[in-house]
Amino acid sequence: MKKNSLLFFFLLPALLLRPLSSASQTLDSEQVQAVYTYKFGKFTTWPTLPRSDDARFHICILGDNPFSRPILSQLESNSVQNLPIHVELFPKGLAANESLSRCQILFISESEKYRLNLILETLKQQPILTISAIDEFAEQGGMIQLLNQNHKIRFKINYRALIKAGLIVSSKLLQLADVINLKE
Amino acid sequence: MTDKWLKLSLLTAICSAWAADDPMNLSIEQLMQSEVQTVTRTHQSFADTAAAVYVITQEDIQRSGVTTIPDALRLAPGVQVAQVRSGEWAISARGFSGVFANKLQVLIDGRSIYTPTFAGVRWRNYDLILDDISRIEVIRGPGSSVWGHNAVNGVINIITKNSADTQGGWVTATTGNKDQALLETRYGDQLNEQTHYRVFGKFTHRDSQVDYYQQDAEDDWTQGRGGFRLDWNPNSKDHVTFSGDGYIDTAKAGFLLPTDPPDQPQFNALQNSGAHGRVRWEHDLSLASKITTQIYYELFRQEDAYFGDERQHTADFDFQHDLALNSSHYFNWGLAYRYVSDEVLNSAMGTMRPNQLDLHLASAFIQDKVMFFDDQMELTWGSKIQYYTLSDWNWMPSARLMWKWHPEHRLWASFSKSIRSPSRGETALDLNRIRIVKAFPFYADFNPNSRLDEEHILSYELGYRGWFGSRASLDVALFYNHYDELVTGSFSEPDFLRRQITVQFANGAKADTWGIESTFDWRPMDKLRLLVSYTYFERNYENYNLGDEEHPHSDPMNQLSCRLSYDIAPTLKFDAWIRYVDSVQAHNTLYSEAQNVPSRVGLDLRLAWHALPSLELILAGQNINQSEHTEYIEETLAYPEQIERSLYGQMRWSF
Repeated sequence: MKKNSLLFFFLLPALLLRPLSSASQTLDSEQVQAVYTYKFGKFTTWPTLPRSDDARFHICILGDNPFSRPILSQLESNSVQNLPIHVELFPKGLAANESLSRCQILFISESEKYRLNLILETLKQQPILTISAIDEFAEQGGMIQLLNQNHKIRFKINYRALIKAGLIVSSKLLQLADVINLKE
Repeated sequence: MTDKWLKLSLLTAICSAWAADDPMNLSIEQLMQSEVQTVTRTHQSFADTAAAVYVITQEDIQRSGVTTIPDALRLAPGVQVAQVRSGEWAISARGFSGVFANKLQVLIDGRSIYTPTFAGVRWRNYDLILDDISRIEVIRGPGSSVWGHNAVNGVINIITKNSADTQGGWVTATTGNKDQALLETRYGDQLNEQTHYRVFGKFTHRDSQVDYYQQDAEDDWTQGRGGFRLDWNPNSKDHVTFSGDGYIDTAKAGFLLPTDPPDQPQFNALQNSGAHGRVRWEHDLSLASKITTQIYYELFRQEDAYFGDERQHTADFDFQHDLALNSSHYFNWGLAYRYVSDEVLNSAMGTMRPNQLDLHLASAFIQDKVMFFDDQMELTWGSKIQYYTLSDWNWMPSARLMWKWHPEHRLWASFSKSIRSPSRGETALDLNRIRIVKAFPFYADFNPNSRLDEEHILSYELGYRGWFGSRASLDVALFYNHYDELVTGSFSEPDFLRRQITVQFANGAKADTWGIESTFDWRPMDKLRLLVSYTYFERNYENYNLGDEEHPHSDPMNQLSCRLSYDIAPTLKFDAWIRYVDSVQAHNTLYSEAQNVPSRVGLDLRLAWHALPSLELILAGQNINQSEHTEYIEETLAYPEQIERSLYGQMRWSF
């Protein structure tokens, strides 16, 4: 019995520290944005992916990081197309060309709203999936825009931008999304 | 046997509880159906900074119920905040607190508000609209390698909101027993797609406190303030900010002065006024290279019936270039120049010699950040080199190392060298026959010392930052500082015949300080947050002011703060905050022995109701557990005061 109470003593904090939640719990928008980013990676095909033994799938975050450290760790404990995810942060919105070209996904923070043209021009048509919650992101040339509609997060896809960059997204994703620029 | 099963089932229950929650397993369809609550947090680079950094967010400020910036600083662990009287605070970190706490650099949007004339910050002159503040970054420990001199024990960066985030009309009215009348108004609009602005005004009347005999200290103060900010983004590479404000502040008594004889204290009518204008231009040369230029000009004037008039002009130019060389190498450098012209007119007490001086501060810095061992290690090193009229040439290097040995646990260490330049007051104050003892007539002469040098400080820090699950985090910092050539009062042998002593400031002392600061942040549920912070501080002085034994412990040894935020309903929010501050001693010149300020417990409560989407009604109380208490006794000539319980009602309306 003593052993049991000792065990309980150590396990209790684990129970307490876990999120107290139920199925109907509302999620933080940052959490949902992070899961979307990961799922979009799963439903996209890149023309080439790094294939060395230590290759990783790079999710890059440009600007003020909206994700907490635990959410970043959740991302990094998953993989996309058998490549373990690695998150790279560019906190001041500064990124060298060399480091950008390693990104498979570039999540552009809302802090970069006024620098969007500069960012998209710098990327040109590199095969990097751009995701952001910035207003009119898709209309301005971004690929996938996250929108908050009535407390639910939906997404808008700029099809032409994807094609120009040589990226293919699954038809399932296109069905669920609000798609613009579908025709060339 | 049953024992084993019990253990196993318990273990499985816990594991499945964790696993079932992994939101990464949600499908796209489930994501689209999930209700979300919008939170805008910036978990930026601070988690990756090898320094003891804490960020006070706008949400923290609002929910704590504070009505001044000094009170808001109590939210940061390790910051020592003590209200001395109505409109005056002693604020520091890691020791050396006081009304003239001179080892803490404070900036508002990159504009230093540390006064070179008397060292320290005149907090009441920066009574901003708290809702205009985006966040307050509190860095404990040295920041001299970037911010230059006087950033010895800490740096506080107050950052105001972009005007795009303050659009529309906003009015807040507050009334209570201490914050008798606070009226804040703001209007923000856009001129076109690229240009947003806001204009604001604030009027405050804050009630006086009481002295030791429960008599009105008559230090109530009234302030009017107005200003604007305009943010212009002409294209995706240029971002320009124009801002400015002005204020007038009047008080019947800034100090309660001793007189000769001392039984009839005098009041010194006081009027402060000031204004500033600022332009900041950020320009992206490319996505990997950015330059920032800032210019500001500030005017300050103080008319004091007793201490004399003071005028100050400040002009400042700052340039910074940030570069990303590759994914594991960042570099920045900068240049700065500041001109301060001050003039102190003769007063009843004495003068400054010289009473007018132009101060020049010129500096350059470089900072380099490299990551290695698969980005697990991060080294930031750099230095500032600086010329200042009162401290000549100095260099202030630092090196910081962070080791991310686990994605959610990291260790850091730092070494820095910094300086504190002497203030104008310390080098030039010339006062004659100041009555310094209350009990019997005894007088002091203060002589100027134009050869006073800067103080030198070596700092060593060690820190840990970790996350436990998605809802708990822990931050711990250990520090050790060594101070050399500390400025201290050097006393002559007392002349009992003339009942007089002569005092001059000199670089005669040394000190060592060490301590620990820790914060635990836990959100067991979405609607509940608990924040606990504990600070321990200890020091050892050598020849400081009155010698080793006699020097009072003016900094609390133990500080504990527990803050609880609970959302009773989406429109009803409750906050409770309890603080414990250890006893301190103060050596007020009026008393021959150190005065003890007992340890104190303060309890703040706040209840906020969003009656309509545009209307919020708030009831709050500060230090509600005590009708009055003393937080600090000023080290100079003024009489000690007590701080009374504060209760207020507030209405916030946006349209």
